[in-house]
Formats: sequence, C-alpha cells, structure tokens
Amino acid sequence: MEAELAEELRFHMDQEVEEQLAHGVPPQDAAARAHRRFGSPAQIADETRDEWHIAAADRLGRDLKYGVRMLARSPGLTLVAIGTLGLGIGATTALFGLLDTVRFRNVPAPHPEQLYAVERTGPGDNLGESVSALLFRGLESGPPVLGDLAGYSFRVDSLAGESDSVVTQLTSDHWFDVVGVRPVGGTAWLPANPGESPPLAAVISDRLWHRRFGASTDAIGRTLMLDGRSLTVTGIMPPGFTGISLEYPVDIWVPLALQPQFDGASRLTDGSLNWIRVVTRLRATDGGDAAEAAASLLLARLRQDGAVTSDSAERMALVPAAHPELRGRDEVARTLFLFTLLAAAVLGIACANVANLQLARGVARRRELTVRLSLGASRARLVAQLLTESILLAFAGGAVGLVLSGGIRRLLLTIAAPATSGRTTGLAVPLDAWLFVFAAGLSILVALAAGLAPALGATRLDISSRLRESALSVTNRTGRRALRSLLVGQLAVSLILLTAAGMAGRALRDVETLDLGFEHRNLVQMSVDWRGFAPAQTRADATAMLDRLRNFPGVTGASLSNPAAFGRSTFSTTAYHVAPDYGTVPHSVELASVSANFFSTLRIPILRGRAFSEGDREGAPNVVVVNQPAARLFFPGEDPLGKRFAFMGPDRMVEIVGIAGATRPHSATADPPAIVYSPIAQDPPGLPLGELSLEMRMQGGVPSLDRLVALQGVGSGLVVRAGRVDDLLSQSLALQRLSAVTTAALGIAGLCLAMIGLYGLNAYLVAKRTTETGIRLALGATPQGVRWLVWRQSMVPVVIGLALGVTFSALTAMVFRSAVFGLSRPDPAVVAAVAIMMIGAAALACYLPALRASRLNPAVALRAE
Amino acid sequence: MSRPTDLVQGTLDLLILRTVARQPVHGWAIAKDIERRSGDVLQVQQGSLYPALHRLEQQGWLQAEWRETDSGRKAKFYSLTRAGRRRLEEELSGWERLAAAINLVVHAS
Repeated sequence: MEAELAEELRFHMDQEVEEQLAHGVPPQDAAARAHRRFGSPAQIADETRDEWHIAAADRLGRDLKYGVRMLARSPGLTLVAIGTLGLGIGATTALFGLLDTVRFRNVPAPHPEQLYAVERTGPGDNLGESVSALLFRGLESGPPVLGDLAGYSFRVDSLAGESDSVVTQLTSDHWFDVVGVRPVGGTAWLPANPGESPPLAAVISDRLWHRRFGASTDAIGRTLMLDGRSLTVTGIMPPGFTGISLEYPVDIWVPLALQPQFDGASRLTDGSLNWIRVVTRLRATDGGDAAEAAASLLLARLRQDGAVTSDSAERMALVPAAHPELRGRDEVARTLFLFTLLAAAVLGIACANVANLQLARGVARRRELTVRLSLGASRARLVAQLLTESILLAFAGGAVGLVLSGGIRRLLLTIAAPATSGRTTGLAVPLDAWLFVFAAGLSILVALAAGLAPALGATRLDISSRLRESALSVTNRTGRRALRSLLVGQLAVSLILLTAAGMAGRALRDVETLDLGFEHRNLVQMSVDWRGFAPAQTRADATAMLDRLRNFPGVTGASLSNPAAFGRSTFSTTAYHVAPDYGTVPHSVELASVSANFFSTLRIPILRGRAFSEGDREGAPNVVVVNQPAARLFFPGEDPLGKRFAFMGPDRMVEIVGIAGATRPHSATADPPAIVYSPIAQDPPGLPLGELSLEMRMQGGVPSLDRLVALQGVGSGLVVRAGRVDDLLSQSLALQRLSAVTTAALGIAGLCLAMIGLYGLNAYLVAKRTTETGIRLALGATPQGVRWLVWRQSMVPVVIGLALGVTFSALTAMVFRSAVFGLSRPDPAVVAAVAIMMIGAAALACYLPALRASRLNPAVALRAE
Repeated sequence: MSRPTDLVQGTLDLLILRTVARQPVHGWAIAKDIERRSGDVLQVQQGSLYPALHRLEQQGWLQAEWRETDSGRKAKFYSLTRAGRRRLEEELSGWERLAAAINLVVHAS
C-alpha cells in the first residue's frame, strides 16, 4: 500500500516534469516547477495515509515501537516504574484473589444459590452449625417446605498406607443428590433397608483415586483400610471436587450410619450431642422463611417431647451455604477486603510515581512536542502516543504483578497458617482466567490514571509561548503544582498505611500476650485414638497410660481430658437448672470430661471450692466444676457453690463443687466459653470416648513423638499426634498474624515507593533549576543557603501530606477496629511514631537533591542552557 | 496568466467524480483535465488531489486498478463505481441548486 502510494505520486511528478519539458521549460527548472505545482510529497503522502482505514492499526504499531524506544532510552527509570507497578498490581491481585475465594466463590455444586445450611440460632453461646442426630432425623422426615435435606459430619482419619491423615465425611444417603454432585466413576452406595446394617462403602475423591489406585479403572470394588476398618470403594467423585467446605477438603465419603463403627458408641439416636451439619436445597426462590419457621417449630416440638435435650437454641436459621462451615468467614472476608483496599492504596502510590515520571518526561519533551504540534500534528495523535507509553508500562507491570501475585499469595497463606495446619489449603486456588482479567483491567486503569493527565498536560496548545520558553524560565506553575499534589497524596496515603501496620502489629502483640487463663508455655498435648473400644476398657487404658506418663523424665504433671482440651472439636450440651421465677432454664455450654489433676496440670486457678479428687468416682454423688462464665450464666448475682442442676440428661443432677477461672482454650481472640467440667470417672453413659488427649506439663523440651509412641504398648490406644500447646494456639492467631504482616508489608512498600517518588521528583526539579541555582550562586548565595532553600521548598509538600495523613489516620483506625481484634482506639503513639519516622525519611530523601544543588559550579551551571 | 480561482469549498469531489465518469483515468490526467476543461481557471493544487482520491476510493465511490499508460508505464487508473455514479448525480444536483441560487441573488435587479 505504502509502495503503491509512492509509485502513484512519483508517476504524477514524472508526468508533470515531462509536460514542463514539452512546454520548453529548461530541464534544471522543470523539477522545481513540478514540485511547486504539486506541493510537499511527504505531506501529501501523510494526508493520504490518514484516509486509509487501516491507518489506525498502523499508527498503533508505530506508537508501540516508538514507546518501547522511549522507555528503553532510560532503562533504569523504566525498570523502577515497572517494578513498582508490578508490586502494586501483584499485591492487589493476590489479595483480591483470596477475597474472591472466600467471599464470592460459591459452593462447587450446581445451583449453589439454592443450598442452605440449617443451623441453630438464638441468644447464648455455643450455638452453631451442628445439630443432634435426633433433630436431624426430625428435619429429614419433616414437611416438604424444608427442601431436600442431607446431613454430614467431618472426621480426620488415618488411612492405611498414608502418612498424613485424610478428611472423611460421614454422609447421609441423600447428600449426593442434595448437593447435586454424584460419583462419575461407579456409584454412591445404596441405602440400607431398615434393620439392616449400613454398607461398609466409601466414595473417594478423584485425587485419592489417582494417589492410591493410580487412576486405575478397577479401583471400584477394591478396599481401603480406614482407621482399621475395611471399606469397599463404590464410586469416584469428579476431578477437583473435595466437598462443599473450604476448610475440610474431603477425600472419603462414607455412610453416616457407620458412625458407631468409627466411634464405638452410637450417637445416631442421641438428642443431647450436636454433631451433624445439615444442608438443604430449596427449589422455591423464596422458601427460606417458611423453611426456617417449619424447622423452628420442629425444634420446639422435639424439645417439648424431651427428645432433644442438647439445645438451648431458640429457633433454626437458614444460612446460604457458601462454605457455611468456614466460621468467621465474614470476618476473614472483611479483613481481606480491607487489605485489598490497602493494596490498592499502595498501587495508587505506585501510579502516582509513574504519573510523576510521565509528567516529568512530558516537561522534558515539551519542546519536541511543541514543535510537532506547530508542524500540524493533532493533539489527539500526541496524547495517544504518550498514553501508549503508559499502557506499555502498565502492562509490563501487570505481567510482573501476575507472576508476583502467586508468590505473594502463597507467602500470605504460609504466614497465616503454619505448615502444621491444613486449614487454609482450600484457599490456595491457582491463578485462573478471572484473576488474569482482573489484573489486565487493573493495568488499564493504572495506565489511564498514570498517563492521561500527564499526556493532556504535555500537549496543551500554547505554542508561541512554549517555543520561546527556555530552561531559564522557572518550570511552569501548573506542572509543578500537579507534581506536588500527587506527592502530597502519596505521602498521606503511605502514612495511613504505616499507621494501620503499626496498629495491627500492636494488636497482634496484645493478643499474643493476652492472659489465656492457663499456663500455655511448656505444655504438651498428646492425642490418643481409642475409637472402637469399649468405654470401660478405654478409661482403664487411659489411666494406665497417664500413670506411665507421670514417670517420664521432665514431666511434672499429666492429666486426661475428653475431648482434647486444645483443639477445635468441642462437646456442646445443655445444662438445665430450676430458677425460682423462670422454671427450668436451658443453657448451652461446653462439656469437658477431665481427670482429677487437670486443673493443676494446666494451672487453671480454682477460684472457690475445690478441684476434683480421686473420690469423685462412679457411684459417688455427681459433681462438676464450672468456670466463671458458666457460673455467671447459670446463677447471675448468686453464689453458685453447692448449687445443683441437671446436666447431660434432664434427670441427672449434679452439684457444683468448685469455680474455675475463665480460659480461652480454642482461640485467643474469642471470648472465654462457658465450660462445665465433669470428672472423667463419672462420665454419663453414651458420652463418646473417641479421641482423648493427655496434657503434660513439661520441664524443658518436648519429648519426641517417637518416645511417646513407646506408650503405644500401654493398652489399646493409638498415639495420633503430640504437639506444644503454644503451637496450637498460634494457629488460632493466624488471622491476626496475617493482618499484622500484610499491613506491615503494604505499609513498608508504600513508604519505599513514596520515598522513591519524593527523591525522584526533587532530583528532577533540582536538575531543571540548574541555571537558576547557578545564578543564585554566582550572585553570592552561599551553598548552605541554597541547600536550605531547596530543602525547605521540597519539604513543604511533605509536611502538608503528613498533616493530611495524620488527620485521616484517625478515620482509618475506626475502620480497622472492626477488622482487627483488640484494636479499641486510634493509637496516638503509633501515629506519632509513624509521622516522626516518615519526616526523617522524607528529610533524607529531600536532602540529597538539595546537597547536589548546593554543590553546583556556577560557571558550569550558567553555561548549561 | 491570471491568478487561478480557488476551488469553491467542497467542489473538488464533484470535479473528480465528473472527470472520472468519462473514462478510467489516472491522477495526473484528472488534474490536467480539470485545468483544461475550465480553461485554466480552476487550478487544482495537484497534490491535494490524492487524499481526496483515496478518500473517495475508501468510501466505495471510486475503484482503482494499475494499468499501462500509452507510454508503457504503469499507473493507477481510477473509475467510477455504481455507488459513485449515484453520488455524482447527488453532487451535481446539489451544485446546480447552489449555482442557480447564487445566480438569482447576483442577477436580481
């Protein structure tokens, strides 16, 4: 096309020259005349080209080439710009990815919006996602308005031949139909007829199928040894499906009716322990309220019948099932949302840096641009060209950011969850198309934010004055004002970021040093698995093991508890007492069945009364120790010692013999739960004795698991794991630690970027004012004077920015209070410390350019123009 | 030689279409033809012809092909398309209205 045009124009000229010659014009003049009649061929060609539709694409290609060349001309600046943008985009994308997973990504099932968790609700503690087996059966056979219901419960089991434990889901027969995900290989098990024993069947995940059976087609019908029980594989779930919980990626689904085989004691007809989670599929779009009412009614009726005793819940609630069991999901989502905003703020700082860079370049290229404008280039053309550079920068930054975001995410998850905990593995979703789109969109925004204003500014038409302008004239006012206001914003934002980081760090320290109500240092918890053994045998074996343990070197105290004292599984049950005015009042409480020396081993203070003794055995009067929150719950304003109430059954009266201090055994950030301690020797019949734990008070280090495993020979139990309680607790602080580390990292990144921007801008301004400075020095200004002048001028926006930041940091503190535990008020000490630190850093960043200005040689400087 | 009359704004398209309508012709010949037929009154700035030619081609009113001239050299010959012929008629009637209107004003007694 280009060649054709050239040939067309050349033909025209040749014709014209020939004609001139034919008219007798001397050859030396003919070409010139032809030229005059034709006009400038280059210009004509240009105008013609503009008529082509493909011109746009062609121009883009040329702009890109030109942009790359301009960026390559200052590789240092370009790399810094790409790096900072990459960091900003990477952090934002990583956090957004986490937020997206937690908040917006739904249950991996068809029509997830129809799925609801059926939960107990009402005032009081210890309500939650699980219901008792009796209530579940009632719901299952309830009215159709409740939808298609299924129950399930998670277990962590050891699978023969696997070093790590696997998550098993006890699953009611309809679960696959309700969730809508069925095995793709084989089938789910067939429900057993009434009276028959349930099938020893297992459906396995695709990944377990690959791991255990090498994806072999004959896996169906083979057996798995799960916790010593042999199960037949009947089906394989679709690839990537690990259940509907982020928290528990399930590998094995087994019939719910197998629970007694796993736990020894049956909980299938029990109305006092809550252990089954319920999910329902409501096909009607507005059936939620009716279903809630029906479920609540059912609960009330069952309680009236005395069948369900575990429940102080007032009513049932339907909660959208998007990962219903990720308790505190809202809290996590809110925190992550804030972090995403903070990361976006860092990205904003990075944008401002790049915008400053482009502004500065625009000023430097002003003469070039002005010349091109005066030669007739259209402004739109030049803006497009300048924007192309920003887009190049932004997309390079976006690419770097995408690469970084994966690493950043992994890093965050590692910090949040030490390797021992599998809690967050569900969050480690890989980079997908959606995140890619997010990063690309972010890059475009960045390009516009960082590039549009500088491009418009640099191409403002004011040709005559611009052409006359020289470097002697002070850099134009509007340009400088724009540079400075960007800087002010940057500094304000990074001060806010750092303040947030400081506050989150302080909050973490506060939480870590919080009084947990027991001595957590030098405490080891060992879990022993006794599932499948008779309770009497288990108790005898456990006691024997306890005696052996006491004689271990370094062990100064040992006790037994059921369930494990530190962990996430708790027994929740109901205590009733007869209040003079209200009749029988139910309270949901945690139950801990403990050995006599539990309190002394954990160093939980007995505030009044006594701890358990060896005399509190079967046959003796039933006694309990309640902790302070439980005492307040049962007998507000009264002396609880010696009071009696019904516990673990409506007729089983117990007497309070002691008041223990409040503890936070599960999470440092949760309020101390109401706990009723019962002597292990007085366990009511039917209390499952699955996984007991032994607590050891150590002197010195933790005995190795090998040595503890030597206890294996004692009795029938199987040592599952042992670990320092400190480590267990630190897992519960994962979110706090994540908050602190993320905000600190973002704050520091923001500070660095702002300082780079500050330094770069001042260095640039000083360079622009070389001539002015030279004149000042030549006229007798002292170097000190110049240094002070430059430094003072560059510190003005710093002070304004920091003042703004301090003002807004109070606001930030308020926002953060809701997301970070333990943060009760804006912390003036932190704000002051951050402000002082930033002033120091800024003073240095401004001093270096000032120093350079003062060292100018006036003779050289004046000749610079 | 008298000073060439500036082209009335927007009439270049009309002149080109009219010229090309007679026979397929290349750019230089179009310029010469316009000058000759107007008795050298209308002098096209020859270069300005080309953006117009290319625009008309893009709009689908002209089509072009490379052909040999009488002297045996390759040149780009433009000819009118069907749409171009319609366009020419529109432009012609528009011009005649304008010219008539101006005549009325100028010769009114």
